[in-house]
This record gives sequence, C-alpha cells and structure tokens, in this order.
Amino acid sequence: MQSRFEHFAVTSMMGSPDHPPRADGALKFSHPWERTAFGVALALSRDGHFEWEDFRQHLIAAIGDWERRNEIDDPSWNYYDQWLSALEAAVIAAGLASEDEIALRATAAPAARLCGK
Amino acid sequence: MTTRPDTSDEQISNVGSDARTPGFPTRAFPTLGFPGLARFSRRNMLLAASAAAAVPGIGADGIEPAAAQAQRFEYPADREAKSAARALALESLLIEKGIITGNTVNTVLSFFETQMGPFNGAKIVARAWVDPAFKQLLVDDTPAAIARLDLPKGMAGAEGEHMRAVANSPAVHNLVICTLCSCYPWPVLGLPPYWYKDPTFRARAAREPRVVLKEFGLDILPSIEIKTWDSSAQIRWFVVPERPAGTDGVSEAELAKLITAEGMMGVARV
Repeated sequence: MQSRFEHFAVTSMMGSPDHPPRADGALKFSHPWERTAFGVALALSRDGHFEWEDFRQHLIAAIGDWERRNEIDDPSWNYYDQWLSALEAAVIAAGLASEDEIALRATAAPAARLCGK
Repeated sequence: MTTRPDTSDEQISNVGSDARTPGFPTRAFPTLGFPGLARFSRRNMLLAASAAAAVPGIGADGIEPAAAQAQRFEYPADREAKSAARALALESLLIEKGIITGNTVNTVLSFFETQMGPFNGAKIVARAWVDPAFKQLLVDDTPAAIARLDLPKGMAGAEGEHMRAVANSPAVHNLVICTLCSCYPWPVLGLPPYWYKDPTFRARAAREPRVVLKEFGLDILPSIEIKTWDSSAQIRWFVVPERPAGTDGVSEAELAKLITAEGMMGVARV
C-alpha cells in the first residue's frame, strides 16, 4: 500500500514513543536545523545508505541515553536533539563520514557557514 | 480548532494550555482513559506538570535567584546553537562528499509540506461547500471528484484511489476511525494525531461514539445519527463537515482556511 518512502518512514513511527512532533496533520519543526536533520535522515535511508529500522534503533537508543542522563522533566528536552544524535550515529555506522570529520566540521567556524547559507 | 503559534520554545511556553496534544481538547483529555497515551505524551505532560508546580531553584517566596534564572534560560540557547551547527555540519559534509545535494532536504520536506497534507482535504471540502454538484460527485465517486481539482499528482493515485468521502448533514454526523496508520487518508488529512492510532480510542469510538465525541467537546444532539467509518486498506474515509453558518459570500480560498484535519476526521466542528 505504501507507495512513498516518506509516507512509510513517518507512519512506521506513529503511535510509538519515538514519533516526531506534529501539529494539525503536519510535522512540527521549531528550528530550521530540525527540518534539516529530518530531511537528511529520510533521504539517506530512502537512498539505501541505511535501513530505516536501523535509524529508528539509533533514535530509540539516543532517547534512552538522554533519559538516563537527565531528569525526566528536564525542560531542555528536544526530540530533534535525539534525532540528530541518531542521525550522526547512523551516518558513522554506514561509513558515510567519521566521528572526527563530523566533530571537526561542527566546531570549525560554524558562524561563517551559517552566514553563507 | 484554532491555529497555534509554532514558536521555538513552545514546549516550555505553552505548557499551561494544550501544548501536550496539538488538536486535542485539553479538558477532555483526562477522561478519555487511553492507557497508552501517558507513554506517548509523557514528556509534554511532565513539562506541563513541572511548570504548574515549583520550578527547581525557585524559593518559597516564588522568586527565582537571578543566577539560576540566567542559567535556566541560557543553557537551551547554547544547546540550540550547537545542535544547529551539528546539523548544518553534517549536511554540508554529506553534500561535499556527493552523498546528498543542496536540494535534498527541501525535496524530502516538500512531500510533507506541499504534496500530502490537510491542505488538500481543505481544498476539496471548500469546493464541496461552494459547488453542490461537486459535493454530490465527491460522495458518489470520490476519486473522480478529486481528479477535477488541481491537486498534487498522486492524490487520486496509489495512495488516494480508495478514498471515500462522507458528508455530514443536519441528520447525520460522521466519524472516521482506523486500525492502522497506513490506512489513514494521508493525502487529504496529513499525519494522524498520536491518539488516533490508540486501540482504546478506536474501540471506544466504535462502541460509544457519542460519548467519545462529547469528551472531544462535540455534543451531538440525540436526534442526530452518528455513523462510524472504519478505514482499512481498501477504503480510507474522510468527512465533509457542514459549512459553518454565517459564511455566505466567503470565498472558496477563505473557506479552505477554516477546515481542519480534525473536522475531516469528524472529531471537531468546523
């Protein structure tokens, strides 16, 4: 029945604790980077770089890690922080980029890149 | 259903209202008794509870020390900047390696933002409100009616070909339920709300729709028949709500803005 990967990917998470935030029938992003992280994860899986289920396992693990490190009512909770951690883990596991490459890029002149966008 | 501001700190700032469950009437929430729901929305509910109760660091006089306040508000901003830098770093690295392109994110998101969503259903319903012949066709042959509108390709195709519309009337109120989210009429309604898939909601809506709708804040007169439609892989139902009173002379485009996904599920008035 599922003709589109995007449809499959999101509906597969419905009703589960790792489902993405949404409002009035639409995905809900609070910041542009959340949208970026969402789109990159779906595209990489759609293009066969990793299985969607593998990404979800990374996501569930990231949420579990956060819950162990933080109070359950910690207001700094952001679903897409966990999503981003899961995406980085999936990218590294798939051999698309190394942990060092990602860390270096994230700390190297982020302001300049932001301005360049 | 009102449109909520989608602010960056919504999870914190909206906790007094219905930030827990977009599109879900807050006051009805505790009485619905869906066992699985606490798990799904635990975080937001806890956030609401923590905002209502004392915030750590706030003294008995209700005044938070300035240092604690500064720490509480600065930390998330710093974290946001770091997350933004990480996400952009990853994207730029993958673009540089030729794994994705600069358009990839927009292409993926356009599916959710412009192709498939409640805005399509709203256009269909608005047309039905202004064009009785179209409304009749919509109920008789939903794909044929949808094909007449300028909607994204695929609306009446693989995902949409089994869609069926049911129209509310002064005598009948329709409610759509479904067992599987893959059976939800995505092309016209967008993503289902989290409670929709809950087995308890579905079972209760099938057994006692009038009671469940009342919990949603929808008091259906006893004289009005309630019909419940169970979506399946074969047929995906959506509701054509009644045109609100006092909208004579309102344009089709303006009418479309009044129509919500909840209205097309039959759990809210439009």
